[in-house]
Amino acid sequence: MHIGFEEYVRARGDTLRRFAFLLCGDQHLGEDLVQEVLIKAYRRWSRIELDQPDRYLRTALVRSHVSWLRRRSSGERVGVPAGTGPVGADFASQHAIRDDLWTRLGRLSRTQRAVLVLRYYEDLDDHQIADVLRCKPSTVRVHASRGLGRLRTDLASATTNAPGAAQ
Amino acid sequence: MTLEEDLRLTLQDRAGEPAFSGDLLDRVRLGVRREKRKRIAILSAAVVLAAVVTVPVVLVQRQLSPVLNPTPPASAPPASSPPSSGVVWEKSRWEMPAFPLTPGWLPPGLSPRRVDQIGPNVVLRYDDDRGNSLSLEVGPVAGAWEVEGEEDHRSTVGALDATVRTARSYDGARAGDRYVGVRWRLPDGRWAQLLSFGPRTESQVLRVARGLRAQPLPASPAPFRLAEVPRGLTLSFASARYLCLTPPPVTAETMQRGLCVGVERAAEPAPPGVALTIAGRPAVFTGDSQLQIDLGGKQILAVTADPEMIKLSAADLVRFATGVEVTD
Repeated sequence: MHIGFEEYVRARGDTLRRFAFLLCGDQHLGEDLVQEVLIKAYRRWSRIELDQPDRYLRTALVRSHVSWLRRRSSGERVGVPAGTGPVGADFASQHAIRDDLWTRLGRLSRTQRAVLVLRYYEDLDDHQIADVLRCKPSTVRVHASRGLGRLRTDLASATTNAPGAAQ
Repeated sequence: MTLEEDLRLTLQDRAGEPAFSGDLLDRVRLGVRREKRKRIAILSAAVVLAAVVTVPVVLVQRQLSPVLNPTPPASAPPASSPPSSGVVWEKSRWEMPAFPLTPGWLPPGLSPRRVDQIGPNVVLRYDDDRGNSLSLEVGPVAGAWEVEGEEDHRSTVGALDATVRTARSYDGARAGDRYVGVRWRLPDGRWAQLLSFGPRTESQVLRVARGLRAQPLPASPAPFRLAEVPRGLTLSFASARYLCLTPPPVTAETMQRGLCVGVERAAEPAPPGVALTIAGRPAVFTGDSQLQIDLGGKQILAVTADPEMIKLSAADLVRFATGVEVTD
């Protein structure tokens, strides 16, 4: 195996797995995704490593994740939440809010979730995200707006329905 | 703390949680070996695929696009129908949409207009390269606000009630830019939505909305000419560089699923797949119902078919792609 490739996987494998975990909301699905993308990248590694391997692989992870082909072949259901955390539990606690937020992220569409992960975890701007997703910045804004809007609505609804919430 | 701040912290927290096992490299090594075996099988299949597609590709070169098809030798043999998976082909009959309304007033400094189709809706756009845009969307589905906004309030467009959404900034905004959105329903029940990203004020955007009159604006040029298409598809999406045909009915969910053509920046390096020549240009069939044809200048023509919407064989896809002409 290409020495540079092995070194890269050793050095950056966990970073890629963390990013894929956030995209998928599931550690095992994330690891499968990273494995699949790295296997494809191996054959072209001599060219990838000359450019920006992190950027290339991040893009490949996102595109592979949102592609309809993988969605079908993995037999995975779209939009099924990853785990079911407590809903409307202790909203005084920031930790509880983040648990809830993580659960609700799993209910967004793949593209909405990918946009939010790229924007709020990778700190990419809308033009950079548009490049990754091969769409217009305005489309990125639509996905982000719908994703955030749904999270906001869900959280507000959960707060209203929580035990002890003001009637 | 805002939702965005919570989201940022949530993602950072969660990213640190998984305890990864150290076997990623081993798993990738195994996968690479499997991939090599699979590739041998694909290459064997490629011989068959090449036998299927070579004849139509060479022959159709003489008939079609000046962009995708160089001038053929005069002595080339006559064309024949390529093998197909039972798809019935017909001459392309779709038309780019006209826009149903005409602005009576526009703020200064807009770029040239374009009329696009987005699913069941039609959009009139004035975009520039810096993200400054004014767009008006009309159709049976309410357009997306695109920005969450800081404040919504009521207003009127003529005698019609409207909702106005504003934000002092948005991603990519420069100093002085703001977001203004106006949404209302036309007397016939269709939604109309005007979005402004740039320096325009709310009163300017409302002036545009109030100045619209029911007079069609002509369609924009199509991004591609298609020689023939599978029967039964209809235009579901069209912009300056992208186009999709989909089995009806066209909805917001199906608009970019079907048979799609787009000009994209070439990925570096090129994706793996079976190498072909389509109309004299190098191409790759990536095995996932996608063809990528090298247009030169680091651009590709991507042709994809979503198998959940339309069943096309590799030969069908090649036949369709061979008849695509980029018009600008």
